[in-house]
Amino acid sequence: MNDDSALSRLLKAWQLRTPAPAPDFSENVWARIQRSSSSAPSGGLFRFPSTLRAAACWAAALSAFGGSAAAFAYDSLTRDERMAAAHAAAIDPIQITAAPNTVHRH
Amino acid sequence: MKRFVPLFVVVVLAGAVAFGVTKWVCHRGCPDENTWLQTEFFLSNEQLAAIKKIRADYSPVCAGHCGKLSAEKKRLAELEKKHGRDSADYLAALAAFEGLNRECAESTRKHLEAIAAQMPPEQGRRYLEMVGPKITAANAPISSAAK
Repeated sequence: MNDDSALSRLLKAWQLRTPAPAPDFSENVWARIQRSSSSAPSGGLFRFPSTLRAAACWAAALSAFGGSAAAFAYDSLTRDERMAAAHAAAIDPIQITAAPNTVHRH
Repeated sequence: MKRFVPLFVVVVLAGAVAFGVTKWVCHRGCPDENTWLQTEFFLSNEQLAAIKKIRADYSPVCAGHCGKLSAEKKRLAELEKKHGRDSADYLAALAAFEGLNRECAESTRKHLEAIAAQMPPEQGRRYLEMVGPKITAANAPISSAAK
């Protein structure tokens, strides 16, 4: 019973003490946010924000597609010429003997 | 501006690699001669079979020409080494080599015409126009052939 009244007195006497906020807390937080968004990630190849990184990926993909299309067009345009030249080279003894590494296709 | 350099390099590399790989794949996918002849000149199976027979019949002739040309070239090189380019023996051998070249060129031309004759007339003309200029002409300068 004595214990209960002592505890009750202690609880009544207890006061909530809130620590005073640091005076520049808010400024510090915003300053850190600012720094992290403007600084580059260390060791990365491309130091771009995400939109630029996406644009870079698109540019590389477009370039690869363009290169592939150009090669396909080049091959289509020159295929007949190359096949005709190979056909002629296979039946022309002068060309066969002129090329030292020509495989004799008889 | 400096940070765009690696990006530019990667974009150019991507294009170049794609070009190279596609070209290699296309090159590997080239048809063989007979398939090309059939598709390019719209040949029937019978026409292609006739052309194959002409080519098979011509093979020993072409092999004979190749053998003669190689032997004559070897002889010319030996004569040049022994007696020089102004010697009578060398000049006589060169004349013989020129004659052989003309004979080979004429034979090849006739062979092309025989192949073209098996095709529909319009395709035969197209074949001669396409392949004809690529065979060595009978009047081609001999010095390059003799090398």
